[in-house]
Amino acid sequence: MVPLRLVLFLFLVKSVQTVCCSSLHTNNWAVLVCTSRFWFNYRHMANTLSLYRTVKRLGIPDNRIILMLADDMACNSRNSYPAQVFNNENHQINLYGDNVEVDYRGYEVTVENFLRVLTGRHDSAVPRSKRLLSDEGSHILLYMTGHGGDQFLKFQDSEEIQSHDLADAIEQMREKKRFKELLIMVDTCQAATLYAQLYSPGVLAIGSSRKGQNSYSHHLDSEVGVSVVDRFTYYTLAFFENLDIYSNASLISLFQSYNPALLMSHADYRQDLFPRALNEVPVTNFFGSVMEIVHTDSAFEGFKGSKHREMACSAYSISSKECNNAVDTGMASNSEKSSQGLENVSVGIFEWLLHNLDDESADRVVSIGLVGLVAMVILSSCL
Amino acid sequence: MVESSKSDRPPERLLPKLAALAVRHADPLVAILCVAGLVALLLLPSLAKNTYISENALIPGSASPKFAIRDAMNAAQFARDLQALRQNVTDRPRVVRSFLINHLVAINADFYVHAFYPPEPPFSSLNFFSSHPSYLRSSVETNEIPPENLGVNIAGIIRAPRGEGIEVIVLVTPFDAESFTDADAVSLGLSLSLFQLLSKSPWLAKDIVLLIADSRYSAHSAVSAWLKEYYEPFSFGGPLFHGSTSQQEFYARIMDAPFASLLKESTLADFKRAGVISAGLVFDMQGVQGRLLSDFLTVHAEGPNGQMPNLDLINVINNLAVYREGLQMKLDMATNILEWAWLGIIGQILETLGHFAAMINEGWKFGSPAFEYVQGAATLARSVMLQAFGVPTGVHGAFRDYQIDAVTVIMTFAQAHGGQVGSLLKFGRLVEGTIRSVNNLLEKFHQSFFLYFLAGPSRFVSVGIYTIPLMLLLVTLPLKAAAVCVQRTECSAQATETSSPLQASSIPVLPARNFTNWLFAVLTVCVIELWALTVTIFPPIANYLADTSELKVTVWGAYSSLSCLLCFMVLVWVSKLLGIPNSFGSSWTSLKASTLGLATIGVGIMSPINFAAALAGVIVLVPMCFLACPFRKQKGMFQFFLGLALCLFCTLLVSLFYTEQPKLTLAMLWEWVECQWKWGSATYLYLSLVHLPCSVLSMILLVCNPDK
Repeated sequence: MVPLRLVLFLFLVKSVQTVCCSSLHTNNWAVLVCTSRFWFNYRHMANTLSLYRTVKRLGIPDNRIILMLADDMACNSRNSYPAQVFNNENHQINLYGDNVEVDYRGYEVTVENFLRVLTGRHDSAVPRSKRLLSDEGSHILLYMTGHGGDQFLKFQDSEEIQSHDLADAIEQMREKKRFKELLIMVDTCQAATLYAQLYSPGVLAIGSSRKGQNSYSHHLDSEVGVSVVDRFTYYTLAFFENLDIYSNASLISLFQSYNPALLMSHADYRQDLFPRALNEVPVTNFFGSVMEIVHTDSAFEGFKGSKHREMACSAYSISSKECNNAVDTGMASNSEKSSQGLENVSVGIFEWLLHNLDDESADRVVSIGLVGLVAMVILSSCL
Repeated sequence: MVESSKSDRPPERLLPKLAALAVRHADPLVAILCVAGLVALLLLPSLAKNTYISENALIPGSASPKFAIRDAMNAAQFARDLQALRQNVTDRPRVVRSFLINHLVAINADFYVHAFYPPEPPFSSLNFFSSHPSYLRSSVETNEIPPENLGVNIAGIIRAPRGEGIEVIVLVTPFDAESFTDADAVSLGLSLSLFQLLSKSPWLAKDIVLLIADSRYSAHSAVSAWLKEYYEPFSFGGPLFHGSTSQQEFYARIMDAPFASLLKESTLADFKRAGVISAGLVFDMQGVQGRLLSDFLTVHAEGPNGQMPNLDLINVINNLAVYREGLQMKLDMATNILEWAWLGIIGQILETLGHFAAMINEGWKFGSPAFEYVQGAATLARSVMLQAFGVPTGVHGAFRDYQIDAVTVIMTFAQAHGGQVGSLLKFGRLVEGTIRSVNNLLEKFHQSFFLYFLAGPSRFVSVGIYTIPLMLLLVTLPLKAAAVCVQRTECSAQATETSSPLQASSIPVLPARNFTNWLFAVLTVCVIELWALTVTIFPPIANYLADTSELKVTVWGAYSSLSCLLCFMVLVWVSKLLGIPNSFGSSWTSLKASTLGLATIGVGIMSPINFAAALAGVIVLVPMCFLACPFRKQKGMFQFFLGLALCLFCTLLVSLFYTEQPKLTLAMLWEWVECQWKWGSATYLYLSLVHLPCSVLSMILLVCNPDK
C-alpha cells in the first residue's frame, strides 16, 4: 500500500508546485568577456580583470565566474611589467595576481564558445569549471567589452556576434530556466545597439554609449605605453570602490552615476524587460553574492527561507514520523523543494488525509474514486 | 523600302553610339579633356589631405621615452672618442673597428663582421633589370682584390628578451671608417648609445639590428650587400673565403688581435640573422656651422622606381618629431618654383574661390591660403620628380628591393653652439619612439597608403586623386587617334565618290592602298622602336669606346643620329619596294594614329610601374603628339610653332622641377644615364623607348610632304 500512497503524495505535491510560479534568488553568477586581441587593446583585458576583481571582492566565488580573455597581455613581450596587468597608471593594483582563474583564454574565446556557455550546450568533455551551471534562481551578470559597432561586437579579429544572436541565446537561456534575472553590461562603441533586440523578460541591460557614439579610453599609461582602462568601466569601478558587501546602493544609483561629460558618451540602459523597480534592487544582487542566510538548529533540518517554508517543513516532518519513516531521501528533497509555497489550506487537507487514511480505507477511497471516474465518463459520453 | 532598310540595320547599342559621337566631336572633346587634366593637375596641391595614423597598433608617443640626458651624454662621449681616433692616420679603419667591437662586447649583444666585395663599376654588366647592385666576384678567386679593399659592415643584434624572435627592426648608420666627419661620429655615437639603451629595454617584441654600414663605396651598396646576404645567402655562389686560415688572416688584418681571437669560437664571422625585417630606419646627422632656429630633420623615402614606404612610417616619425620633441620636419622642395608668379596667382584665385564657396556653404572648405598652395605645389613637384626619376634618394632604397618599409632620416643640428647634447636627446628620443611604435606593430605595414605624393610633412595626395589628371590626359591620345583614322577613311570615301563612276575599277584599289599605308605606318613605328632599343642599350658600348663622359655622350649621340638616318633610308627603300610613291606623305595620318597609339601604350604601361614618371611624361607627350602635323599642310606652320612652344614649356616645367643648377652639361647627362642604369630605373627605358621614338616620329610627320 506504500507505493499507492506515494503516488497520491506526489500527485498532491505536483499540484502544489504548479501553484507557486517563481523561484527565489538562489545564487549569483558572472560571465566576464573580453573579446579583443592585440597589444593595443590592453585596456579591454584590464577592464574585464577589474570587473572580475570587483565581483570577487563582493562575494561571487571563482567557481561561479566564467572569465573569458581573448588575449594574454600579461605575458605579451611588449609589456614592460611582465605577468602584471594594471588598470591605472599609479600601478597600485596588479589585476593579474595569483588567484585569477581564466576559464577561456586566447583563441578559445569565440562566438561559438560564448553562446555555448550562455546556453549550456557543451560537449560532454568540457569540464564543470568552464560551464555556466546556473539555475532558475540565478542572478547572472554578463559583462562584455571589446570593439563593437551597430548591433555587433567583434570577437578576436575574425568574427562577431550580432545583437539578434545574443537576444536569441538569452531567450534560450530563459526557456531552459538558466537564470532568474540577468544584467548585461556592455562597454564598447555603440553599446546600446547590442542589446536592442533583447525580448526575454527578466533582463536588464546597460551600455557605455548610444547608437552612433564611441566609447573612449580613460587614460594612457606612459610606462606601459597603452591605454589601460575605458571610461565607462573606470567610472563603474570608481562607484564600486566605495562599496562593500553590506552596501544597500541600488542599481539606479549606479546607472545614474555616469556623467556623460566624463564618459564622453551617454551611458544607456534598458529596463523594459526587467520586472522590478531599479531603485529597489541593490547592486549586490548582480555584482556580488549576498544570500539570505538563516541559521538552522541542526544540519538536516533543510532550508528555512521563509515562514511558509518553515510550516511546510514542519508539516512534512510530522507526517513522515506518522508514516513509519518509510519515505526515502529523494522524495524528501522533492517535498522540501516543492513545499516552499504551500498554502495553509492545502496543508490542512494534506494533514487530514495523512492522519485519517489507513491502508484499507485509502484503498477504498481510490477504488471509489476510480469507479466514480468511470461513471462520470459514461455519464458525460451519454449526455 | 524604308522598312527593309530599317530591318537591315543592326540594332544600335548605346556604347558604340556614344563612342561614335565622341570620335565625331573629337577635337572639342580633346581640348576640354586636356584643359580639365591640366586644371586637375594644378589643383592637386589644394586637394592634398592631412595625414593620419591609419594603423591602430602603432600608437606613437604613447609611451614615455627612456632615452635620458645620461644617454645623450653617452652618445656625445662616444662621438668624442671616435673623433679622437681620427688622430691615428696610419691604420684608422682598424682602430675604429676595434673601438666599435669593444663597445658591442660591453653591451653584451650578438655581433658580427660582414665583409663584402666592392660593387662593380657601372656598365660592366648588362643586368639592367636586376635592381640590386652587382658585386665583383670573379676577381676574388684570383686574389685580385686585396682584403683592404673589401667593405666591412659591423652588425649588432639585440634579441628581444620575451619576443618570438621572428621579426626585426634594422637601424642603419652609414659610416666610413677611413674618412668621417664630426657629424658622422655624432650619428654613430647616437646609434651606439641607443643600442645600449635598447639592450636594456623590457618592452622589445622584435629584435633590433644595428648595422654600421661601411659607406666607403656607397652606403647603399653596403646595405644592399648585407640584405642580399641576409635574405639570399646562396646567391653569392659560395663563402667569401676558402678555408679558415685565409679567413683568420683576413680578420687579423682588418682588426686588432684580441678580437680576431674571437674567431676561434667562430662568432665574429658568422652571419647571424634575426627573423623577417619589418622596418628599416636609416639615420644620419648633419652638423651645421652657425645658428639654427631649431633642430630639424629631413625625411627621404623615395625608393627605386618611385616606390614609397607605407605612409604610416613617415606619419609616425612626423608625429613624434613635431608633437613630442618639438622638432621641425622638412621635406625637399623645388625651391625655384616658389617664386613663380603664375603659381602664386593660381593660389590667389583658389583662395578667393574658396572664400566664395565658404560664403555659399559653410561645409565647403577647399580654399587654402595662397602661400600654402605654393608651398604645397613646390613640395609636391619635388615629390613627383624624385619618384619620377626612379632612383632611390637614400639607403632606404636597398630595403625597398625586399619590400621592406624603410626611410632615411637626416637630422640637422647646430654644431657650434654647444647644443649638441640637447639635440642628441631629442633625436635619440625620436628614434627610440619610432622603434617603440614599430615594435607595437603586429603585422606588416599595410593599413595606410603605398601610392602617394607628399605635399608637405603632414599632407599627402593619394592615388585616388592623382590618377585623375593622368587619366584625363591619357584618354585624349586614343581618342585623337580614332578621330584621325575616321577622318582618313571618310576622306578616302569622299575621294571615291567624287571620282567619276566610270572608273569603277579604282574602287577596290583604294582600300588596298589604304592597307599599304597602314602597313607602312606600322612598319615605320616598329623600325623606329627597334632603333630606340639599340640606342637604349648603347651606353655600355659608348662607355667602353670612350674615356671622358663628354666623349661618351658624343659617341652615343653620333651613333643615335647615324642609325636614325639609316633607319630612315631603309624605310624609304622599303616603300619603294612596296611601290608607294611619297610614302610618308600619303600615310601621314596613319603614321600619326600609330604614334598616338604608341604613346598611349607606353604611358599606360609606365603608369603602374612608376606613376610619377608617367604623369610627368604625359604632360610632354600630349601636346607633342597632338600638334605634330606636316609643315607644308595648311595650318602646319602654325601648329608646328604652337607645338614647339608647348613642348618647350613642358620640358622647362619638368626640368626646372629637378635641376637646381640651370646649365646642363654633357657630363651631367652621362652621369644621369649612369645613375639610371645603375639603379635599373624604368624611367630610363620609358624615356628611351616611348619618348624618343615618339619625338622622332613627330619629326618625320613634320617634314613629310602630304598628298594634296
